[in-house]
Amino acid sequence: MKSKEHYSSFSHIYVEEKIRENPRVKRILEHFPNSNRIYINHYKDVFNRSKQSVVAQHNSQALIIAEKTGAKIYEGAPVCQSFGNEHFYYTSCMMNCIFDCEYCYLKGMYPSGNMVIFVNLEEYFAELEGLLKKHPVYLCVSYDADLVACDSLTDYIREWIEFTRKHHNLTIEIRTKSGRCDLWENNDSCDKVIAAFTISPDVVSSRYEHFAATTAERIKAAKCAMDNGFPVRLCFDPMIYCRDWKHAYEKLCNDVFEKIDGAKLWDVSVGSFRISQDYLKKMRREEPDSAIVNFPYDNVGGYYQYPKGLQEDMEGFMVEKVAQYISPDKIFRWETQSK
Amino acid sequence: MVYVFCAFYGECSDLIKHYNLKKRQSDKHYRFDVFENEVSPVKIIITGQGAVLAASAVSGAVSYFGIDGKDAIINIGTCAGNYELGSVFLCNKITEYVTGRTFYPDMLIKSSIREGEIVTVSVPVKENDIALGKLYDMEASAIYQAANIYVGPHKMGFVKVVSDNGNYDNLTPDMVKTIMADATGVIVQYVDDFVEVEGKVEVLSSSLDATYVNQLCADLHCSKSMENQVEQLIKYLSLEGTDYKTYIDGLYQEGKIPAHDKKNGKVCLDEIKGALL
Repeated sequence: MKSKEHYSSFSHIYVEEKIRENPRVKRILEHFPNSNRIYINHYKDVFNRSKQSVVAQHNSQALIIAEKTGAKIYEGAPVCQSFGNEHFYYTSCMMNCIFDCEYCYLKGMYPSGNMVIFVNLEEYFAELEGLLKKHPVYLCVSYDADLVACDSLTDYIREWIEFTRKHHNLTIEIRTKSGRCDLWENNDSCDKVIAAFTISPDVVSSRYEHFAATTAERIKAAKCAMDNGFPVRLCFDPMIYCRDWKHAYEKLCNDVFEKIDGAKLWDVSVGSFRISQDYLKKMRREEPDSAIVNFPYDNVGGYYQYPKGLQEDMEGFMVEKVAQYISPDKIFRWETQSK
Repeated sequence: MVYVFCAFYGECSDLIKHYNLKKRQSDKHYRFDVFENEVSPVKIIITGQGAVLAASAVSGAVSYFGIDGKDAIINIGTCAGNYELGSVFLCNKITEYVTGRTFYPDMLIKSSIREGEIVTVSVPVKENDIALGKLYDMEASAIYQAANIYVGPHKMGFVKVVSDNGNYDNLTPDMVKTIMADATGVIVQYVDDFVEVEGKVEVLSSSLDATYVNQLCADLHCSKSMENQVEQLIKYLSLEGTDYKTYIDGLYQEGKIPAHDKKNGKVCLDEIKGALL
């Protein structure tokens, strides 16, 4: 957790020398007039240093502003929900998150806890246009970061919405744990921009999802996006085990559907926590005091997940509850990859 | 423990006094001068001048003292630069002049010390070769590289005090001592902050009741894989604050533990999981 002995987030900003005159870089830096700026050759010189502590760095997260080179659009990973889309891709115009969820796979995936913003968004668009010439694309743009939470710095939500609107065969998902409503209110809606909200019970969000919006704020933001014409996806994924998980998720379901009309939802995903064994191994080293990271998961084919019975119970319970409010063909459960 | 590495005694004599450290008796297995006392969380080591000696001092200290990822390494010393003599800098970027490689210690702990970039050179830099805004020393990049084999960039700090503007011919040991003495207050504050923050992190880290787990594993006739499961389960239950001992003691009283064999042990383990998860 942040303490007074640590610098505040983004007190230190690393900027690639070659882009110091880039207008986007200048706009981002304007938000932090008192930051220490350190000019670097390549973002990996900072981001990929050996023996970094993701947890320590989250006490005083630094920002790295860089230009992404190489491939920018990737095929979806097997642990990710494709929602039945054949051409499922994701992209990362940012890496890492300002929120600090204890269970987040980014802590296992990246060598650093610092956040990177790539400013050459037009090159992402160009690569994507190449793909769109071949086939339709379903693209998740906010997997390895929370674009909504950081939009004040980047304005990327507006850019992605505008780009998507111009390409008939592109659908994007913007996933967030932010409670911001302004972006959904101020941007013209697009029926191919899915606003996806990860929703967790209060007991989970307050204990494990540090600095993310409260459950109530996320529900409010989801309703706001829906009311402003965006297709809304609710992700009860990852479901996190706690001793009274049934009560917690039942209450969550009630709270959500008290505010949100299930019939108007685009869809819902349900999935219990699962993670690559390599990521969890690193996270257990980094977070020895985190209960969620140290749960005795079962290793199934290189992925840690809840023991089969518990996984079935949790996901089955949630599907059943959600099905009271939304048509079953709109409920996606990760394990079966089927409606 | 915080290990402070300095090139010369004159760079840290006041620091040694402040922490009331005494010179450790010399040892054939570690030839560098070490200042320490039994209670201080700070040790000071004199490396000698230059990259090779600095890296050797760090690397040797790692083996000799058993430095690991929990410990911190701070390099304190003088440097050249176009600044007022006595100016103190915390280095956020270290460049190895010979290779052009750059290193970045994490800047996490709040400090009032001004930040700057340092270039580590092989020979003292002359007045005309000093670039605007840069500092020059002879050890920092070597210490970073040697230390980073064992500790992370969040466990490193580099504090440098400007002792000359490249006109080092006039620099005497007494001048160095005086310049460093003036900076001791801010340096001590930095080292103390490091000790305090790092100490808190260590206190947070929980320890598993290894004796209890080992006994339970033996009583369940665990295979290696089962041992890992038991350890992970007990760790999780401890972190959750679950009173697992009462339940497991009950199994002992019922005679289910010690189990007759591995098969029964596995049944017991499943029972514990079923009851406590």
